[in-house]
Amino acid sequence: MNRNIEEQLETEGFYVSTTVGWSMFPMLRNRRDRVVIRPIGEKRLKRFDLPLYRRPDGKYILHRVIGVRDGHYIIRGDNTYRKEYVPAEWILGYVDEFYRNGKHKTVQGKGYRFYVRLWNLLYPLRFLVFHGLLFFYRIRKKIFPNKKKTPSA
Amino acid sequence: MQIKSDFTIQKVGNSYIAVAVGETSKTFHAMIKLNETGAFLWKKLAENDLTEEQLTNALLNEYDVDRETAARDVRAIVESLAANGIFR
Repeated sequence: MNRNIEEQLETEGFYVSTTVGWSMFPMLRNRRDRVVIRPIGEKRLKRFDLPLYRRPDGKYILHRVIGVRDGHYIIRGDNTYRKEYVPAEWILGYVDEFYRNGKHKTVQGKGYRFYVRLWNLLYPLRFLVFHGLLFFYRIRKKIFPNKKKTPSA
Repeated sequence: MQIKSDFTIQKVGNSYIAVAVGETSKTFHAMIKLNETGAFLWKKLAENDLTEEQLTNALLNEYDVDRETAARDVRAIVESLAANGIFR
């Protein structure tokens, strides 16, 4: 993403960006959909909010809050299977509108809220399918070492 | 001139913001901020390959301005878009 996201958030009051990567799939697709990010200010995030944060290594990440704790958040991408513990001070902003397939959506929209709840509810099932497939590919690789490559975890 | 298909424009608050998508977004990270006139011309240039003359005429058809002002606006916007490398 950008070098000066913080600067743009501060001067413009928002930041628009094309999303990179598949970790927020199916909501956001690599280099196709766009998000509008607002500065975090004094706002305290709630469960299912979508913050943009910056890790100490400089990497910008946009993933979903799945838990709110004292001073930090538990965060996970819609298409990832690992939790991240993010201190509140890493948070730069949050998504409040986005464009998917050129269509404008807000995080208050009914369809979006339905998706968020459903997708989160299905997490245990998604987790099982994902790890089941991973296990299957590993076993297959052991039995047929020359077969096709395994998907990356 | 015509705008590359790898750019898209949306209204955020009171301004229009253009950003790159697809391959171009790997190298182009900035937001291009446009006013109403800029966004109008942008949309024309996204759809068709147009000259400055044609853009000026389009502006005159849409807004109540004199030719000189319209031509000046077109010039300014075309120059700033060209400087950002967004034309094909």
